[in-house]
Amino acid sequence: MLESDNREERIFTEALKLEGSEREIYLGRACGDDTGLRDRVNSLLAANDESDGYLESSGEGGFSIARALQQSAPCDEMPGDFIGRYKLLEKIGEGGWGVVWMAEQNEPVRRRVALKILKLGMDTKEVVARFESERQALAMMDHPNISKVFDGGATPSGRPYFVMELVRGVRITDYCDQEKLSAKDRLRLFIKVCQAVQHAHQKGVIHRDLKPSNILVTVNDGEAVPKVIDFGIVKAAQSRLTDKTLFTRFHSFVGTPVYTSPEQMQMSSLDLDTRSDIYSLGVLLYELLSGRQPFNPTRLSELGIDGMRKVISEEDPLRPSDHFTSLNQEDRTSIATNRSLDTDSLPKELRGEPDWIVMKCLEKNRTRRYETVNALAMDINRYLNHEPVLSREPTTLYRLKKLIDRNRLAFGASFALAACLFFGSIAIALLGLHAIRSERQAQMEARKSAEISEFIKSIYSYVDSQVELQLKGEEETQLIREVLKETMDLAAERLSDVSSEAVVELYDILGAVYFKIREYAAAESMFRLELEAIEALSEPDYAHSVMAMNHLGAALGRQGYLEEAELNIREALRLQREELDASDQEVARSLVNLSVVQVKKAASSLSSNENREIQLQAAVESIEEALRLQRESLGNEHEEIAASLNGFQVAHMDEIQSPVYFAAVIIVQTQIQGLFYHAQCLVPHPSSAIHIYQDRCGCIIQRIGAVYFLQLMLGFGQTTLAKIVRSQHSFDRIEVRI
Amino acid sequence: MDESSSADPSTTSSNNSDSSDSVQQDAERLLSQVYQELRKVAASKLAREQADQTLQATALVHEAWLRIGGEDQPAWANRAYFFSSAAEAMRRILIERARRRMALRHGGDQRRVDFDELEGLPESMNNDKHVLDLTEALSRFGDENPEKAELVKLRYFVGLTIDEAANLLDISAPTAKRWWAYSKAWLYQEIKET
Repeated sequence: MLESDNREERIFTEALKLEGSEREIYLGRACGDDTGLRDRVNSLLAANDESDGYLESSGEGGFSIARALQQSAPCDEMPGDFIGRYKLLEKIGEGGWGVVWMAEQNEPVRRRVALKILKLGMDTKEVVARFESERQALAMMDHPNISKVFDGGATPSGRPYFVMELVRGVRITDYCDQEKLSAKDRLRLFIKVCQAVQHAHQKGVIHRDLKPSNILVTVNDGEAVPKVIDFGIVKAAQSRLTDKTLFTRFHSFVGTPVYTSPEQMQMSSLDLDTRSDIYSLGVLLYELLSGRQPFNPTRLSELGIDGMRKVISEEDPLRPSDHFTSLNQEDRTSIATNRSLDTDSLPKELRGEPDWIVMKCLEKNRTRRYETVNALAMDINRYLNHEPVLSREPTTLYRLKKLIDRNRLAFGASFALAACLFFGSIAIALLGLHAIRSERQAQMEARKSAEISEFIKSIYSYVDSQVELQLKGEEETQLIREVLKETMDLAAERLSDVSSEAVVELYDILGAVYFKIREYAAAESMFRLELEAIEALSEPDYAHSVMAMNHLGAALGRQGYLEEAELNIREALRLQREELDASDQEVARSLVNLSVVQVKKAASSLSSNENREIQLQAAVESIEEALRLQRESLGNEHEEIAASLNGFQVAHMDEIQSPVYFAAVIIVQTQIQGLFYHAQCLVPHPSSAIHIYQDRCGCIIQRIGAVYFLQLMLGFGQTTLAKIVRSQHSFDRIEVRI
Repeated sequence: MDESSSADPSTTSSNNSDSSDSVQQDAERLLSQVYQELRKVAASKLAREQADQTLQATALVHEAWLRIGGEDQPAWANRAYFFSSAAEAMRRILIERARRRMALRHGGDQRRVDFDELEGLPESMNNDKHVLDLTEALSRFGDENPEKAELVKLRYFVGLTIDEAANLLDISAPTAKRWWAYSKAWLYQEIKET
């Protein structure tokens, strides 16, 4: 990817092609009012004229270069040299622009220190300033887990240096492995690191290069003390120095910036803030817990700089537990051993809160990460104290959405996998809910439960809107059933003594999905459980009751328990009208549900002809009222109304249980549609809506024959429609009397 | 930890490719490798130098590239990067040299300075102040235009032609020419002002 030409350059280049007045005209147009730009371009053009052979070389000075190479010193300082009062002992590190030496100090105290000095040839004003700001930043800090600055100065030739606490330690990752620290112990150690970083942030300093080699652990009096060193790319938050980590196209295979946050990977200097450090801490924690980094360094280094950037900015890493389980046996064994666990227990340890905490740190969008390092530390603390953790929901939904979006083609719009993922996340949400143990917990539960409710709602509506249920085969349905069952079991196990809105929502969702895959009996149990859960709520919740009853009624209706179905829906209607003062639209929805049941009753084989007519009439009335309510509140053309009609249709078209039933549906639809059109002044009164008839009845007549259909119409008392049928078809053999 | 023991190896920069050392650290390490190679080549060339003989600066770098094993070397599977590092090495050498000479001049030892002329190279390279100014300017230029700066370094410090540089940078020759014109003008104007 080429760097894009800036405006000044483009104008300059174009202007070069022109001369004299043409050039002037062009410049006038291109620069417009921007006199600053015009001036700059002009001076560039002037420079161009003067600088003919500038920086050009015949290239023959090879020997001179060779001599220069010979004469130059490979190394600035040697062991034994003195810098200030510090005697250099051994080079212990080298960075972009500085070298770190171990040095010895005799006055005023005798001790060994770390001395960092700017490299020769690296002392542009810029770098010197940066070096100086690093020293200042360090000097500002005073924390047991941050290496201290003792002194600073400059060599006679003007190169700056500063002197720090010599930290003899092991990288934090190595230390944890050597001591075989458990996951929890690693977390405890990590919290100390967080405290150090938090301290820095409070002083307005962002580290920007947090990684294991910059966090060493020493042992003092038997206690492990992590120390953050090398604020090498430090940026005082107030400073105007911007970070110029230039990744030219060549540095593609050198090193792997696994620890670099996505925003840091962008070439343009974004406003980096403390959350970038949080990302790096997340990567560290990832490694401490799972034994691996979120992205494979080898893979990254093979990608080239653009590929690397793309991966870090866009690809979601596996969760620590999942990453671990994806490794081979050998690796898993060694990693688990280093954590004093076996290969089965480690993922279990990591699943749940530890996973979420890490992933929250690794969010690409930094607003989704922890706000402060403190927040991160506190969440870890909560986990260690068995308290519920805050970091869950958005992450899961976000990842779910992304996963579905990315793999839509692969899934082939299959609901199955989406459903599984969706329930997986519900299951995760469930894990967070515990039985209430105390008042404080009750408050926390209430808050969290509201969060989960929202989460569940949003997932369902998302999945619902994105994917239409298209069961491709037995296998998929089976898969969904299994996942549902597991979720159900989990719910039963964990939620029996939990009472919260989230539980209500959960049962509703489970029921809804069972409904969608036509397991109406199971859906019924879910909705009944939902109603029980609503009862158990501390305050009566009519909104949820209405919802649950409607759903229960639908499930019962599908199974043929029509009386009970009707009872439930009527109760829901009552609640809506009396207790809830529900909106017209909500009442309308219940009415539509009711009419569905009534149609079924009409079509039920247990009805006599008279009854049928009555029932059908009742159904039509319900739907008429629903339409009226909707029209009153929404106007004639609102999509809600069409939706009601559609809902009514769809609810039945896929269930051709009996021709009678089907016919009943057609009738109602015709009338409704007619009403609808009538309301829109498209056609006169419904009974003469021939074209509607043609549209609707055509297909059923094809199936069952005109005669039978005619008989059905008569059976339902639809004389008008019957006449239409007769007029549209020729009945040779049978005389039908109307 | 024992006070008298030498520094713990884990505090040193690590070669562990599994760790996530910063790009800078590895770049430095590789750079010093380039540097060593260049010096070796330089030594061998100088040993065989004869009067009237000229040597292309680029030849030095090319030979160092071959000696180091070229694309067969895993760390160097990118010729462009090697050349870029060579340019960087040369740049640093020049800066060092410039400072040294300025210090000598200050100390009044003009004669030593005179013997030290770089022949066959751009005049500007013998102008110590210019070398230092150019470094500053190039650094600022490189902030906004890193790839153009790379082009300048390759051409100026290694002596590549526009076509050679374009080839290395994987850009078209016209693009390279465009970039060169702009960069040159930019730097010239910037330095003139100081």
